[in-house]
Amino acid sequence: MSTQPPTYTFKDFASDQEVRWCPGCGDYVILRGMQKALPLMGKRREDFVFISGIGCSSRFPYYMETYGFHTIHGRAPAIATGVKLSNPALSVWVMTGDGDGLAIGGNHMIHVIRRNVDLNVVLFNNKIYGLTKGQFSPTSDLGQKTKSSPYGNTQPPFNFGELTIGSAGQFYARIPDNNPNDMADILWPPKTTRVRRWSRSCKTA
Amino acid sequence: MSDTATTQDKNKIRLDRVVIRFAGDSGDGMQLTGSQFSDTSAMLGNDIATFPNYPAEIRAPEGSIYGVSGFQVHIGEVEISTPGDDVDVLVAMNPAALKTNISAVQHGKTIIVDVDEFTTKNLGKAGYSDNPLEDGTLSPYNLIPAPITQLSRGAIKEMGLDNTSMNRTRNMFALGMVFWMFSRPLDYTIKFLEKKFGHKPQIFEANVKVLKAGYHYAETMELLTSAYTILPAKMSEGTYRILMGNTALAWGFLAAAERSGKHLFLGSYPITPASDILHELSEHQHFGVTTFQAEDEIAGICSAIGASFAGNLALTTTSGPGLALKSEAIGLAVMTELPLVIVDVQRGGPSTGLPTKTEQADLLQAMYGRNGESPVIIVAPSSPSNCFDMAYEASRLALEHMTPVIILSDGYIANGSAPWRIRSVKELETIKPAAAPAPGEEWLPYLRNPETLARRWATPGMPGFEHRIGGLEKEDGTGHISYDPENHEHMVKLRAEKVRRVENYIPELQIDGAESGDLLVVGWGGTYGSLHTAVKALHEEGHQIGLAHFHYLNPMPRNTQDVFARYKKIVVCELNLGQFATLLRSTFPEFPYLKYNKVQGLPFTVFELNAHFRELLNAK
Repeated sequence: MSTQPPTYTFKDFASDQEVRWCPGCGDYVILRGMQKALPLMGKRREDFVFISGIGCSSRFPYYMETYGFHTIHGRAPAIATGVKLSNPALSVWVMTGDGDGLAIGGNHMIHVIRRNVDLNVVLFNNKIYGLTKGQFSPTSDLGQKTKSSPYGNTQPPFNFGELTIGSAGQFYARIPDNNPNDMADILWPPKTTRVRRWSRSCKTA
Repeated sequence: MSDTATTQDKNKIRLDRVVIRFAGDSGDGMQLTGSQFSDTSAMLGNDIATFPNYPAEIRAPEGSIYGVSGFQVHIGEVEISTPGDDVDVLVAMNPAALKTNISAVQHGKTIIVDVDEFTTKNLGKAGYSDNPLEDGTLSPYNLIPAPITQLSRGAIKEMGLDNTSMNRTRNMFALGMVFWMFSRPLDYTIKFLEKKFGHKPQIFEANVKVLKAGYHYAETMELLTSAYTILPAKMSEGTYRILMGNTALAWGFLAAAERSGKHLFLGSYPITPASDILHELSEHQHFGVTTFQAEDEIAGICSAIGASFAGNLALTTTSGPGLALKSEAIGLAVMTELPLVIVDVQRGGPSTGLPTKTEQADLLQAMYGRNGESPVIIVAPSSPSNCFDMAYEASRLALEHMTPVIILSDGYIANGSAPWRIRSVKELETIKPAAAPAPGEEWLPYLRNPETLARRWATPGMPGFEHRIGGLEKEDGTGHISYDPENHEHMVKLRAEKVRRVENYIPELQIDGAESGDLLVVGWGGTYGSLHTAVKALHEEGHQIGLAHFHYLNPMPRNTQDVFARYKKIVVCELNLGQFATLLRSTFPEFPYLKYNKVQGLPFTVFELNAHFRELLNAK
């Protein structure tokens, strides 16, 4: 596991699965950014594990030629914790969204940040439930009209950056989904539980 | 003290068994007192079974009925399978303890009370309008009224301890008395106190003084005309120690990790009465165990699923309400065909129910409590010491068949204790986990062993086997997401067949008593001790009665049908409203099933079982 890894390109991290996000979705940019960043990390391909919950973002592991686990709604941080504690040599990535990570999985999220077991969390924030076609999420804006808030959302949103700091997170960065070139830099910071958030606009919901 | 015990032996009455119950306020240290008596008796070689019965309240008001905590121990020269129905000696530290426990004592048996506690105030709290020590209520019993509080304080009055510390030694006085009555030496308890209070020499000294004071009081007091002795039981050769069910489970998992070559991982959330497994395993990091106390029940099982994905022998421990929370995650482990052991130490339900009381009402939850067709293996230990074996078995089945296994223990055997023969790890059959592919070998995530149907287990870090799994339906073989209707039905049947085939890898049903005849008693899990004792007695009387006790509930042993066909009547006995009977009716509908059920948070008594079986046998 510890021998010098081969020289990879982004293609080495693309699986044979057809990518099934809506045309124009920012998730494609995140996928390509990740595939470009992994060769820079000096790890072997078998040492990467991508773990997701449920939602558009959580399809992510299927498209990566690494170990991957598409789990159940909101629980990816807990499953990733089990993987990382079992084999600390692995580079473990939680791929989640604003509904998966901050609503149904909100409790797991704050605890995984608090514990700092050296995981990476990538939260795709499109401020809406995309897979279930358009209900408001914990990051939807006040007044935002959605299928489940036709007269405007009445619930104030979470600011994930504040939540991360409040949970004693060690690293937090945010990048819009129209900036693929800066992504590799964001994905390669020091060793600690890192939270990255993409602002993403949903083209469908 | 052991010298004294030997020289006295000639004057003692030999008993083959005795049941003693220590009862007092939850702050009186009754669990400790009872454990000391049990451990000392186990050291003397008696067979033994214990049953702690304590309130769920953290600390109920002193002297109240619902604050009474009890510990029952049954010791014998003969085989002991239950903590006993009727109490031979009741120690009641206050009126509430007497009130709540007297129904378990038959007339003519012994009751020891602390008379100092029978004050008007305490009698009122217990709901006595008259003092039962004076109004004749206790005349049918052999009453031993002892001024326990006063004598305990007297024994240590020179030591300058505060009131609370002095009163806390009372339980040692009662223990000393009972030690003398049954010719037990004091040295084991003295060593225990030394360890417990080594850093507080004064408290240690006070407890020892009071323990000895109780012992000598019993010796010199005229009410106790003779002492009793119970000789060592004849048990198969080996070194024994006393073990609680929860500890036995923990050790079974440690042994399974050792014999499978896997790292042990426990993801858990505290819940009564399962937390002791988490406590025990947390102490064993030197065996390479990882314990993770999660933020909730769901994270507990999910971390275990992650650990299983990463190649560990992974488990999660809980009780009924926690099993409900874990159900979606169990489905994920079914779908991804990962090995996982789920321990449910059952308690009274539904909802929060009776957290400290026992019940067997989670069977159908374990069997069916998930969305979709979601089969799992279910096993159930039958006694505290059998918990070790079933933990080992559950681990073996999970690792070799790549599927979740639920262990249904219960509060009764989890907290009960019994002698357990210490085994060498080498005596245990090796566990051969579903083999990881060899490097470079042709491999797909859902290629299967043609016999067990278990898929092969490639784990993160292994080069060349990078793959993705998840909760969406899988295409057989490749493991790719598939919405194909034919594939879904194929996979549903395949997952069911995989669990069904486990019947080829488990032992056949064993019968206690008559191999065929008039009545077959069917039981499962923690009721074994009572069922066995009741059936054995009737069989010895000449009745054609047998007991088929299930340790494997899904799938059931291959010979189940053959066994059932050999008896005229079948009665299914369980601590619920008939869940196993329901399961049997749907699995083997050709047999008529009678039911015998109890849902009081308490185990079966041998007496009630015996009476019921006799009725069934007589109604030919």
